[in-house]
Amino acid sequence: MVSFVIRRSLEALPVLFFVSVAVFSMVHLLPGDPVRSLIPVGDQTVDPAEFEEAVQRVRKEHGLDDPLPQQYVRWLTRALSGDLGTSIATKQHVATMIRERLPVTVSLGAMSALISLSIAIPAGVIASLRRNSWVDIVATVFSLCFVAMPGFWLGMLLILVFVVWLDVLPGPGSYVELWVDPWRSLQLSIMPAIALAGFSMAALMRLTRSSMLEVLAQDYIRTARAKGLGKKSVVLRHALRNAALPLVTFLGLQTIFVFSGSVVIERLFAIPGVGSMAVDAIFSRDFPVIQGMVFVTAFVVVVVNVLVDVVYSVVDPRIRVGL
Amino acid sequence: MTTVAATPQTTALARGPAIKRWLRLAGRYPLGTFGFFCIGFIIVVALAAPVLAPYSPTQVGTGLPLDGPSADHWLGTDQLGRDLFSRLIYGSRVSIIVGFIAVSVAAGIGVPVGLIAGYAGGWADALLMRVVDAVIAFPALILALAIVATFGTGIQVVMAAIGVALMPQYARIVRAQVLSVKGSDYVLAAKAVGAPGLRVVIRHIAPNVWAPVLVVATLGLANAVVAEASLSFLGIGVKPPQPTWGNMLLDGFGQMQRRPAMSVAPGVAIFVLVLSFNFIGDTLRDALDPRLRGLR
Repeated sequence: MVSFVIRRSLEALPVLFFVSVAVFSMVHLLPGDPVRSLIPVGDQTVDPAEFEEAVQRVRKEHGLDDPLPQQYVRWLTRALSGDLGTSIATKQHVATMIRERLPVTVSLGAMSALISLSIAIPAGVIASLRRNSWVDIVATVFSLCFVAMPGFWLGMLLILVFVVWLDVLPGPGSYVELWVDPWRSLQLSIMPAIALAGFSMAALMRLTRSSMLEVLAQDYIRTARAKGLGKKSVVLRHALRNAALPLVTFLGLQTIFVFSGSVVIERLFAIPGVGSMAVDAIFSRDFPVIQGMVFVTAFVVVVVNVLVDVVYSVVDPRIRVGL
Repeated sequence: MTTVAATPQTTALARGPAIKRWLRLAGRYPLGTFGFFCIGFIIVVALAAPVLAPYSPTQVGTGLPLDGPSADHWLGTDQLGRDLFSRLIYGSRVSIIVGFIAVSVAAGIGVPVGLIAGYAGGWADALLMRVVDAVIAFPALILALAIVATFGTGIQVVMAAIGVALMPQYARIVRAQVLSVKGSDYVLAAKAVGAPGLRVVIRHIAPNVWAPVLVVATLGLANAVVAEASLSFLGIGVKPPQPTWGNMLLDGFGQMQRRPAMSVAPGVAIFVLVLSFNFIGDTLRDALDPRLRGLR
C-alpha cells in the first residue's frame, strides 16, 4: 500500500515537470518581446528612448537576460514558494488574487457536485433496477439531452425561464458569499450550480446505471438473493457498494469539469471566481494572472488524480496489483 | 463475447438488395440513423449557405434592429439589424469546419504518439505518456484559454487549441490497443520474417487501431463543437463579425430582456449537432467494439 502511494506520487513528478515547463514557456511563446507584454500598456505611449529604458529596466528586474534554464529554475522556485508574480492590471499578487477567488469557484463546484450526486445516483440505480421501464427511458432521454447541452446554454435557458419569464430568481450579478448572506447567495448560485452540474449529472447517471447493471448480473448477487435476502437489502448492501467504485473516478473528473466549466459559467452569471478572473485577464492582456491561474489549475488536477488513484486502491485492492 | 454473437447478424445484414440492407441497418440503430441524417442535413446547409441564406450574414441594417420574426426575417434581426436566419445558416460552417479540423489535429498528433509509445515501450513510452499526462492536467477549456492568450484569438488558433486539448484521448486509446495486439502471433510472425519496425507498425498494428479511433473521433467532434461555441461565447474564439453559434449566443445574452428568443435558435443548433455526433459515436462504439462501452 505504502509502496503504491510512493510509486504513484513519483509518477506525478515528471508530469508536474512538463506542466511547469509548458506554463513557463507561455511567456516566451508570446509573439514579440515578452518584456513588452510585461510593461503596462499605459507606459508604452511615452517617447521611444524612455520606453527602451523601461524595457531594459524590466528586463533586468525580471532577469530576462539570463539563460532560459536559469530563468526557469528561478521562476519555479518562486512559484513553489507561492510567488506567482504580480498582476499588470491590478498590481496585486497573483497568488493573493487566486486565494481570494478560489473559495468562490470551489463552493460553486461543491454545490454542483452535490446536485449531480443527489439526482444522478438514485436515478441511475432506479433505471438499472427497472431496466427498459418508462423510468429508465425517461432517465436515459434526459441524460442524452444534458450530455449534448453546452453548460452555458443550459445556464442561459435557466435565466430565460426563471429570471426573464417567471421572475422568481435574481438575475446574474451582485454576487454575495455564502457566509455573508446565505439565502441571497443560494438564490444567486442555484442556477450556475445547475448549469455546471448538467453534463456531469448526465454522465454520472449513465455511469451508475451501467455499473449497476454489470454488478447485478454477478454471481454473488444471485447467491445473496438465493439465500433469501430481500431485494432491497441486496441492492443496498451488495450491489450499490460495488457499483459505487466509479464514484471515486467521478469526483476526480468533477474537479476538471468545475475548472473548465467555471470559465464560461462564472462569466455568464457574473460570479467572481478564478474562471471569470482568467477571462478578464485575457481581455486586459494580464499575462501573469493567466499564467498563475493555469499553473495552479494544472497542479490541483495532477494532485487530485494521484489522490483518486490512491483512494481507488484502498477501496479496490485489485488496482494495486494491476498497476 | 458480444462480438462473436453479433457476427451472424452482421452477415445477415449483408444480404439482400442495397435499400433493404440500409433499412435493416437503420432499424437496428435508430439513434445512429437519426444522427446520421441530422449531420448530413447540417453539412448540406453549411455547403449551400450562400444559396439558402436570404441575406449576407454580416450585412448590417437588413431590417430594423432587434425586430421580431417576420416574412422577411424568419428569425428576426439582431442589435445591428443583421438577419438572424442567415447568420444561423452561416454559423453551421464554423461549427463543422472547426469540429473536423480540431479532431484531425487531435488524431494527427495523438495517433502517432500512441503508436510510438505502445510499440517502442521503455523510456520512449514513459516519456511520451508523461507528456500526454501533462496535457491532461490542463482542463480542456483552460488549455484552450492559455493557448488563445498566448497566440491570440481567431479561427486557426481555436482549431489548434481544441485539437491539442483533445489529443490525449487518442494517444491513450491507441497505445492501449497497440499493447493488446503487440504480443499476438501475427505481429510476432511479421517480426520473425524480418519486417522492419515501421512496416510492422503500419501494416500490422495500425489497422487494429482505427475502430476505437473512429469512435473517439466522433465523440470528439461533439466536444470540439461545444468548445468552439464556449470560446466564441466568451468572445475569445472566432472573431466577430463572422457568425458562429457561440457568438450569436453572446449577442443573444446581451439582449435577453428585450429579445429572449435570440438565445434559443443557435443553442438548439449546437444541441442538435452535438446530440447527433453523440448518437453516431455511441452507435459506432456498440457496432464496432462493445468492449469500449465504458468510454467517455
